[in-house]
Amino acid sequence: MRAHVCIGLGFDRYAVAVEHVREVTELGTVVPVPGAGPRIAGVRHLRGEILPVVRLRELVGASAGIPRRLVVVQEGTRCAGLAVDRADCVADLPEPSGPAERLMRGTVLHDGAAHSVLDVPALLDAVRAR
Amino acid sequence: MDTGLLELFREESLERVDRMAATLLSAEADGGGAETIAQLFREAHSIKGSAGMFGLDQVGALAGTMEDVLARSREHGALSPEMIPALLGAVDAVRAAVSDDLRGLEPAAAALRAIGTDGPPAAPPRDPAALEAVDPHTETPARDSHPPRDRTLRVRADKIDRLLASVGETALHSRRLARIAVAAAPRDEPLLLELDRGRLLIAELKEEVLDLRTLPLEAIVGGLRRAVRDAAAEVGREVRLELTGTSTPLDRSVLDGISDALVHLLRNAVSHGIEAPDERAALGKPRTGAVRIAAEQRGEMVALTCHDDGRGVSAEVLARVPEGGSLADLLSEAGFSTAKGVSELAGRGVGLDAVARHVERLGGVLEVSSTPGVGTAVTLLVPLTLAVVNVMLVERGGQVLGVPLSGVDRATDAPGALELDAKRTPVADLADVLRMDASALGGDAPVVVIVSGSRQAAVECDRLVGDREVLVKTLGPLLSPIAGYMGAAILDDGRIALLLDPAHIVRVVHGPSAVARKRDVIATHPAPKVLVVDDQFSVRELGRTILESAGYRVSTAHDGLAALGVLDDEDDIECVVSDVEMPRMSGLDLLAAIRALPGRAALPVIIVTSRDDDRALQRGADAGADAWMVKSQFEQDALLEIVGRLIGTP
Repeated sequence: MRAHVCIGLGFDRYAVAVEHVREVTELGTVVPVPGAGPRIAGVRHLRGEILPVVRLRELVGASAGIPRRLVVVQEGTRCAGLAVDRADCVADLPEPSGPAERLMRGTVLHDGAAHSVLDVPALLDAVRAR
Repeated sequence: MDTGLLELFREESLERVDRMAATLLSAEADGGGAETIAQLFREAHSIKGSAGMFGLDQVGALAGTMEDVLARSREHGALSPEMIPALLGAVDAVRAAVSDDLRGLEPAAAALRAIGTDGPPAAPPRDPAALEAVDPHTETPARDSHPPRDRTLRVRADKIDRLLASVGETALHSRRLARIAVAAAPRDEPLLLELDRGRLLIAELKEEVLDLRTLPLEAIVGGLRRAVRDAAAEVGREVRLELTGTSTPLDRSVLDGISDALVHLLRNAVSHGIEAPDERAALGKPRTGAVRIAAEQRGEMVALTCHDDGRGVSAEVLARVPEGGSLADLLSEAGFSTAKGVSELAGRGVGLDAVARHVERLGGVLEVSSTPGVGTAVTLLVPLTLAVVNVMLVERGGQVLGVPLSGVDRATDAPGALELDAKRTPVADLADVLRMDASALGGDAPVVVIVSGSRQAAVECDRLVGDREVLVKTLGPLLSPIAGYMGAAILDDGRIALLLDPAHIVRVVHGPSAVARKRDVIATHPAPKVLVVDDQFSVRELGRTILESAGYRVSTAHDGLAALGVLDDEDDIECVVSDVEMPRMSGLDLLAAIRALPGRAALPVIIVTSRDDDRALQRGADAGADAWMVKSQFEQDALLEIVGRLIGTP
């Protein structure tokens, strides 16, 4: 069992292992960066740092909704905020069993719903590869 | 003795002994082979050499003893285990000695010599006093008993960056606090004085932190001599390298990577600039070529110039520099260098594009001057620091953007007075340069003239905000590959300003993507004029407002007949937007009349119908309307999109 932050995007549910999560905060004011491509909503200011904000919905193809929260993920020196609709709980999830695929480490069942576990390094790779 | 140089020697030696210690420790774990010995020998040899230069003869002597011991074990091909403690002891003694504690040197040398004479091996070489002095974990080092000298603290660079970020945040916070305080108590003199004092203190603090990040150019010249020697040996040249102005201070952010660029320039100068010794002799030049790196501060910038007295760029290549262009641009065009034969002819340009891009990322420029037969000078003009930059802030499309003042030639709210030569200084909408979404600009939008090397370009924006000193923050590893940005800054009001790279802007505006407006054409042909025809005054005015705010000129008519009259009087109308239902002459009759007008038959006509009714739309299409729209869509974006598509944006 590992602790994960549970994320909601429209009707879809995702999870990120807590060791990749630096913090969860409100979406804040996002300034677009022209030329950054469709996966980057822009940048925001977070405690003296400029943080890229990733359109997670577009990246993973989740159902429609309104992003209000920001899950700040980190891997090495790479850091980004994932724009999500909801991120309100931390849950202990088993190792994902379902098949790993692009950007996902697999799927686990939690609280009666399937949660796709995000592969943070792959996600950050995908953001950068434009 | 130059204390700066001595500091550098200390730092370098500390790095060497750290590496030696690590190597010895791993050799202790898994045995040391010939490779390990060779590496340790090189390090000891380097310490011996440089310690001698800095007058630290005792350190040099110990390093020499280490060398002797290592030379003997090199003959055996292995580092015997009993040598390792003695060598580690010597390493520790050197470390203490460069921090001015020389007491460990003699015992360490004795321990080393003891192995050499097959004496009792591994006599505990670590003098307890020396150990105490050098153990980094000991809180009370013995050297406290020495008079305090210029002690050096080695701090990780990212800690200083974090410190600088905190100072920046503190400055922002104090300005916000000041605003609130002034609003609440505008006449409280003591409060205002204290606020001023706080501002000054933070400014001083910022200066101090920035100074921590500054190093002399010297810090990186070590590799340059080596690069010249290697390049000269490779191509059979005789070359002398001179360095001047190496005490010029540079921010670490700029210094990082400049070394690679300089090595590149030096290698180019040696392999493509300097002639073979015999050839030089035949030309009446000294057999030994001279290559010089000169650094000098020019205001907020530092110029690093690589001169050589070689063959220079050929007259043929010089002739290819376009009028108004520069040799640097020609040589650093991507692909120029790889064109077969050209690099030999040019005697330059190999990978110069990479150097140019690097310099531009720092907000600098590359300059090249050359005289055939006499030599070449390549100058990297880079900012002193990337941490704090003065920028011109502008607004476009609801966003704040900054351009470093070093790249701004002029900025004005009254572009009419500029009289820009469109060929030399093309003009473009900043939104087009960045490919950002923004509503069209009016006819006389504020203009910033941006310079990069010998070229310049003007960009239009919504508003000039003014110049500010800002703390530059990186966009981070995910976003920094995007071309065109130097970073971002957080403004006093908490907004983020993206900082633009002047060289990128100038390149895009001059480039083939045709974002540059035909300013000279606009000057003689003002913005396109649109005729809005509707019997309702409010609808006519709505259309006028939308179109004028996007920069179009607008005429209006209250029905089809009046519209024909306007078309008769005004021959510069480029597009008609007409309602369908109107008294006297309907929109569809107007359309038919226009299609029959000699010389105006192809005039674009947009029919606006109030009825969302397919039959009316069909009739419009039959009569040859260029576009139609339903009145309920008659709002800004749809109208501008259609007009823009038919006749272009102003």
